[in-house]
Amino acid sequence: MPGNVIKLRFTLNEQAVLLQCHPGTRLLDVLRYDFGLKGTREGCARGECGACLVLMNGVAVNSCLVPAFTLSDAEIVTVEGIHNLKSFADIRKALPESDVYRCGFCSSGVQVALAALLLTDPEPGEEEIRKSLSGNLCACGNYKGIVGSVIQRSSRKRRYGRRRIERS
Amino acid sequence: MAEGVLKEVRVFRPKSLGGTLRLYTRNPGALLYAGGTEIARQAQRGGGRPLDLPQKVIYLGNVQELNRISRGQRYLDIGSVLDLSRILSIGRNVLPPVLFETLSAIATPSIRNLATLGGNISLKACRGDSLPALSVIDTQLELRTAGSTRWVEVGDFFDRGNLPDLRPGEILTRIRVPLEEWDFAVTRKVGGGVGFSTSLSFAGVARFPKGSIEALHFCIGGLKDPVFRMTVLEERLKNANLPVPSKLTDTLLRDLDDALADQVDDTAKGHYSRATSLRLLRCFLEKINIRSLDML
Amino acid sequence: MQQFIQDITPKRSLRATVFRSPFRKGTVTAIGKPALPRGYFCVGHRDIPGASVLSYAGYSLPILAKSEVRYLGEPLLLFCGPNPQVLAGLCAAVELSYEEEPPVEYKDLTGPYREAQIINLAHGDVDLAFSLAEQIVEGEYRTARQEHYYPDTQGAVADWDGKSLTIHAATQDPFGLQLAIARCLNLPPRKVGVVAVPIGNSTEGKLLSSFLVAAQAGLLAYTAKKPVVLVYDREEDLHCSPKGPQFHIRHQTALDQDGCTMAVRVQIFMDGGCYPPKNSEALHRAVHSAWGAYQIPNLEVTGRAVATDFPPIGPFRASGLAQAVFAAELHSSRLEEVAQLDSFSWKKENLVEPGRKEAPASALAVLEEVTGLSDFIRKYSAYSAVKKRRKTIDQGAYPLRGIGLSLARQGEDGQWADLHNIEAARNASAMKLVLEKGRRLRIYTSLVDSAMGIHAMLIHRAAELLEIDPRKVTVQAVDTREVPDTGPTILSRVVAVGLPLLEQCCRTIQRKRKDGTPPIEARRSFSTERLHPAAAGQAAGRKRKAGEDAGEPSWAATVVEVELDPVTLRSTCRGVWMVIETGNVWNRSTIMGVLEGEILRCLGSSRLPGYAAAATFAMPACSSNDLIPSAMELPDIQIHLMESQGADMKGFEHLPYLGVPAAYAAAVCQATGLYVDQLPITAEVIQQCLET
Repeated sequence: MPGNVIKLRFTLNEQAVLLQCHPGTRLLDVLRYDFGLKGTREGCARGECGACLVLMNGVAVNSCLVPAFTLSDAEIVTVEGIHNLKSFADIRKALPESDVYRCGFCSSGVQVALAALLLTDPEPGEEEIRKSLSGNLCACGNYKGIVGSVIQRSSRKRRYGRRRIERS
Repeated sequence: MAEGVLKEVRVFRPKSLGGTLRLYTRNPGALLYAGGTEIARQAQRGGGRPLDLPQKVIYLGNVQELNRISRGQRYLDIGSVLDLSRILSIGRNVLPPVLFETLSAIATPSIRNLATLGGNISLKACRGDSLPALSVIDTQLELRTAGSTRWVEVGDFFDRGNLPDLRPGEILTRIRVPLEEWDFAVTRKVGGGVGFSTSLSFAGVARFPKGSIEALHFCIGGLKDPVFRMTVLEERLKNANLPVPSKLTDTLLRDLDDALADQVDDTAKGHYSRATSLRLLRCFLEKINIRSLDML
Repeated sequence: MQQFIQDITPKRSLRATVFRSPFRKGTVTAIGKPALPRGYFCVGHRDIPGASVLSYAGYSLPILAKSEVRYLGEPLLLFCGPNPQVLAGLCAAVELSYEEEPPVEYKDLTGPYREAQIINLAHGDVDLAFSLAEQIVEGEYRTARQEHYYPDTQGAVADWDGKSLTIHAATQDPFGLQLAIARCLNLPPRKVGVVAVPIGNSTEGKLLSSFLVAAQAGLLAYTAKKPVVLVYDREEDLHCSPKGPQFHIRHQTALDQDGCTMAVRVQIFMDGGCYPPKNSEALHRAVHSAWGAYQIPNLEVTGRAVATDFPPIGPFRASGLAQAVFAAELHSSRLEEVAQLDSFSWKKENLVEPGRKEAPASALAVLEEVTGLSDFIRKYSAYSAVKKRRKTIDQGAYPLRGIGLSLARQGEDGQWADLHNIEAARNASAMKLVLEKGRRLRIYTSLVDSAMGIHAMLIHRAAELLEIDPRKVTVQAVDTREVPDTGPTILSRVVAVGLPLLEQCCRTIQRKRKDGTPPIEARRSFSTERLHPAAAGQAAGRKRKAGEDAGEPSWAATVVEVELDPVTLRSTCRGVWMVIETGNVWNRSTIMGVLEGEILRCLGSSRLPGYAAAATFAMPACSSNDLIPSAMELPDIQIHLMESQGADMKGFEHLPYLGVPAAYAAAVCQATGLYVDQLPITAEVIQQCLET
């Protein structure tokens, strides 16, 4: 195999996938260009804005800072997975409705950050929610609306049949 | 190499420490990559292009020995490539409070899920984050080559050029955190918001049974020296009765001010760092005074 | 999921990159283009078929520099092709010869510099008043350059099919963009179609800058005959896109023996950047708002836009207004001290017009409401008392608190951004509505959806007027080939122009509905002259009179309470209260959400380090966290809208920019006991004030 291409197997939105790419390819670009998953966005390319967040092995990471060579055997869930996978059905109930967002650019990153929180804490308080969003920049300043919506929606009691992604 | 051609990058993924050390000995110019948050940040090239990495990369993420925490009676040994979130998950009852608070304040949750303590100690851009807290609790760093092991104090980890003083083939493998009790501990992070690097930070611990100072350490991060500690001043406070007399405080602050002159630039930021460092120390001593009264 | 410009990648599309000047100022003596592999294209200045300089709203910006370079990162060449790595290689292979000149580093704007524009305004006899004054109070106030930080960086996707060009652009003015591209490519406008893509919160950064990136993409597509995608990286955008200008404002106030204002002299210097606008709306607004909301018997204002070696400036929300009001309000806090009045009392007294007993009712109403809501008077007194007893601020263990009040109005010259220059170039604004079967309504307009909730506003208003379900109202995708030109998307302009057009269309449909069956179409337009007589007048050379009203303004009073850590001198905001008199309001939740977000952003820009022009690309532009506050910094924000029944809704989006910085600065001044006279107010700035 040529030295500038590696072969990777990992799980993407609960599907096993195989990818060949340059080892330094960013996970963000893998998702957007190799798999057409445009929900994960590029905002700052410095890990500051959170627009590129995905779940990697159950925790939120900035995909603009993750090179392909670290993906081997990883479990990646993008915002599309959070929207569509059965295992995230209960978490979806606690996420803000789409009309809470203003321009919507930060929405995917916010949803991933919140999903990561809800995986470990199904009824988080305001402080926990704000901390989980501390790496998501909303240029519209709409944090209060987002936080309020999560508190409202997550405070309803429900039974979980969700799959919990265990950290290794 | 011409920009138009993708640079060939060879990534090694060892699984054991022994294998890693041998690999690094054979490839001394290789980049050691763990969490890589700061490296990836600086390696961005834009336009959807791959990160600008060197020809050889040794990925440490799968090395078992570097990914562990072990707890003894007197120490906590933290693997150098354990991510900050994992370290924090041990809990504030196990981690020394000053270290727990410091690590919690680094960057953002998603960055902490990737960034490692080893990287935070080694990389210049992150210096102000964890070093002060690690220094004041007398943390030791294990440095290993394929054929040797040595331990150094955090303050001795850097050379005169303020770069990690590593011998050829040497890797930071463990961070040994003493599990000592302190009567008072404080950590302050100033600036940097929730971004990557702190502009200034302060950590201080003190032990004062029976109304006099048995031990007091303080350290300032974000200055020119990676670890700025004045053991001379710490010694002068040893055995001082509490509350610390204001004359002694004033003298200490004057001496600190003189020492800080070499640690900052003559810019607005430098002036601020200098003045704030003095205020931080003053505040630390005042809080010790108050705490000592509470303990009566 | 919302599709932004970075999400549009047509099949067979080529990627594009801009080769930029690596130096700040100088002349390119030779530029050697590399040999192009097959499928790759290059465009230089000579390849531009038509106009090589973009002109918009008084601003001018070269699409590609010819030989003179005036800012770091000025575009020199454009490349496109299938592989971004190869594009990077082509950029690296360009052989550039140049003679660099040292840029002049400006310490302040007061001169001597080349003046690009001067505006003078005066009434009364200022010299006489100053000669009779008992006391003169002086102050100098500085504000920094402003970075828009829209979340979606500048970008455009262009496709030339041999007959016409289609551009997908994140722009606030699709028809303006259409004209600009047509001029650049020497095409009739009907051969350029612009499809507007939703934009993030742009603070008016998707006007001029969007034209530049779209022109670049259009040139490449025209050359390559294939779709071209050009999206700037964040670093590139931060370094190179136009910013809101910095201001330096000097106030002198002549007071009589009772501390009453006799005369005001104001000198305004605006940084015009390296391509200063010849007719700057921002300077115009600054001059006309220089004395704030107060009645001044004798007034002299001089505004100068100066040419500097800083990067180009462009439109920014409330630019000129915000800075002038900041200076006026902060200066008034000094006058309050001389008069020994609290802020509320001083403002009430100075709002009064000569010969009248009462100040404008709306202004008084918002002042009284906000002081009540925030408990301003009690807190102001308490914090003042603490300040008097305090020796130094940096040796206490307790936090320092302060509270500030500001008063501002939006309307008159601030009604919409860069109106005069835009309107002077356009003939009319229009909108079309079509009521279809099943009580479905489709709105045809060039107004773009954005963080301001523009489309939601139109939908709800139309639904209310026609008594139909809002879910059955849609806004047609904004494509210049299918919708009429309603003008640029700026919130106050939407309120002043877009909504009246919509309402007229709705009334027409209601009339036609009685006799007709769907589909029922209504189309209305306003001419420029009817729209804004002053704009038409300006086009004809008529000068505005000092203080001339163009309509009822909307008033806002803002209170900000801060707490400073005496050790770090870093501030946190304990609360923001804002009372706005807005006219009749509907879609209240959208408006409240917009205001809250804008208040948070303004707080951020008042206290975070912000943007600083970098000397080289090697230095990072700035951190995103230096510009936008995070979710950890959520103060309590209370907004109260005072609605005037029967009055039309008024523009309001400038009011946070006018009110928050001044109130914040006043609060910090009270908390510290220092005269802080610049924005942003960081801990380093407070330290500097402590040391001087």
